Amino acid sequence: MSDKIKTRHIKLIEAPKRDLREIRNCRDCSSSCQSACKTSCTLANQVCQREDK
Amino acid sequence: MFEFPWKEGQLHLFQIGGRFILFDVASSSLFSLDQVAYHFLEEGGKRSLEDALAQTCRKFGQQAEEALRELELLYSQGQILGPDPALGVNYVPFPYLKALCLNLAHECNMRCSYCFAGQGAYGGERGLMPLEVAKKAVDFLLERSGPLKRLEIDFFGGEPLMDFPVLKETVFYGKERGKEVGKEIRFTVTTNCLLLSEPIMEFLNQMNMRVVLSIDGRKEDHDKNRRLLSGQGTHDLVLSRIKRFLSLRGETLYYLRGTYTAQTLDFLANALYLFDLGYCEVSMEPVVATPEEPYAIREEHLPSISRQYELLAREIDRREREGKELHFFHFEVDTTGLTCVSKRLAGCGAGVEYLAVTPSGALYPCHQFVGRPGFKMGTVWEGITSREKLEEFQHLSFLEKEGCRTCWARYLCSGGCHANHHLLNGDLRKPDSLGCQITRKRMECALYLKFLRRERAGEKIFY
Repeated sequence: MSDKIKTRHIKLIEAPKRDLREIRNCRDCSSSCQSACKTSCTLANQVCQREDK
Repeated sequence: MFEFPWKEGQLHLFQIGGRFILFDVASSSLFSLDQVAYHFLEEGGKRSLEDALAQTCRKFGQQAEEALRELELLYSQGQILGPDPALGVNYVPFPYLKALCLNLAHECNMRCSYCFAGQGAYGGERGLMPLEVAKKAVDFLLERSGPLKRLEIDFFGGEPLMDFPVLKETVFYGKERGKEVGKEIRFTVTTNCLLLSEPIMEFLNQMNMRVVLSIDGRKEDHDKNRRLLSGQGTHDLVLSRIKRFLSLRGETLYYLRGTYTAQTLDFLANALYLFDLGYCEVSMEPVVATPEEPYAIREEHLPSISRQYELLAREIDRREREGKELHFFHFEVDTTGLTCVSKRLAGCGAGVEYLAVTPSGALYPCHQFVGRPGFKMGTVWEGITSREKLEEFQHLSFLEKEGCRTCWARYLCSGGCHANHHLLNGDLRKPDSLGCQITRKRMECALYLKFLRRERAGEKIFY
């Protein structure tokens, strides 16, 4: 990742640990979003919890 | 000259608190920029890159070309502007059920003025869920969960603790039945806290249940809306219950959840009030309401709301620098472990992997659709009887929603709340623009807070 590249003007802060294009379709996500806030649900709070991730 | 294949909705540039931040939508990667790179990309979004470079050179000299070379390098390594994750995906709707919301009580011991559930009755008859319906719902979930091992049940209402004996038996039944078939059901209860007696607290703790505890913040704001049938405010009673309950459970697996409205807009003060009480898990949600309601949030409130989210992110950072650990639910965005594209296309899963059950056993796409004409999907006895409705929800990915394909936040919000879209626009595929604007601002602040946390952890972001 860009941590290895010497850059001065743009620097990576954070990147996903794996390729998001992979289709898993397993729903081993952290929770269904409705169980958390009950309104204005977004998925950003959810993470993949599949053991082989 | 090198050209980025840069289209609308591929990069998002923003600045908060003197930080220049870039979010690459396809990879969900977050970058820090200096002024040169920020200026160059900002100009590049408006004109040709050649013109943007010339413009940036005039302002920053040779550094503009350095910034361009760095962007070229990141692009060549696939770190920015990569292919959209949804491109070429053969979207297959998820075939199993993962979660149920059991509306144990279409009844409530409070009369909150902004309640989307018609003060508990959902526009219908008041009543409690019998045990046989709750057990049948558990069976229904287990039968339709296919290979899934981790399932969820959320007890909701109205006020679900009004039906506590059924809640208790359902938890026992669910744990036992789950064990028999090799699955685990995680239980959550959303409560207004009034009925949190010692035995109930003990049970919820013993069962390791997650709890969402409703409190709007300061007494004057909470009591404006969250009242008893008599009209009396409930703040003092609710807070005393919360204090006792969380002291017993060791303050884990909970969220204090508040609602803000046009009449109680100062959610920043209310969130800080709850943090000041010593609680570190807080959520403040915009009210769900149609525009004619006096408490509905309107366009004119957006500048104040945006400002408050920014100030909240900064204040959380300030307190964390003093050694506190605070979580504001919608700022807890984890871009490193995000779910895969199939889940992010599917969104919240309402009507497909998640259903709500009424006290009589009727199935609805989610708790917010309960009672809305045309949205009953079946019953726990018969299963899904409306194939048409099921198919409609199965194909409600953000790719089908107006404006989502080019929105930079599409992989973080996944198209937003179907129920809100239907309530406000009468169309499941038409997002409400006000909600979208709030979500995008919240996401920016979440990414900003992430930036600050990295900075605080001692990582040198620059030079």
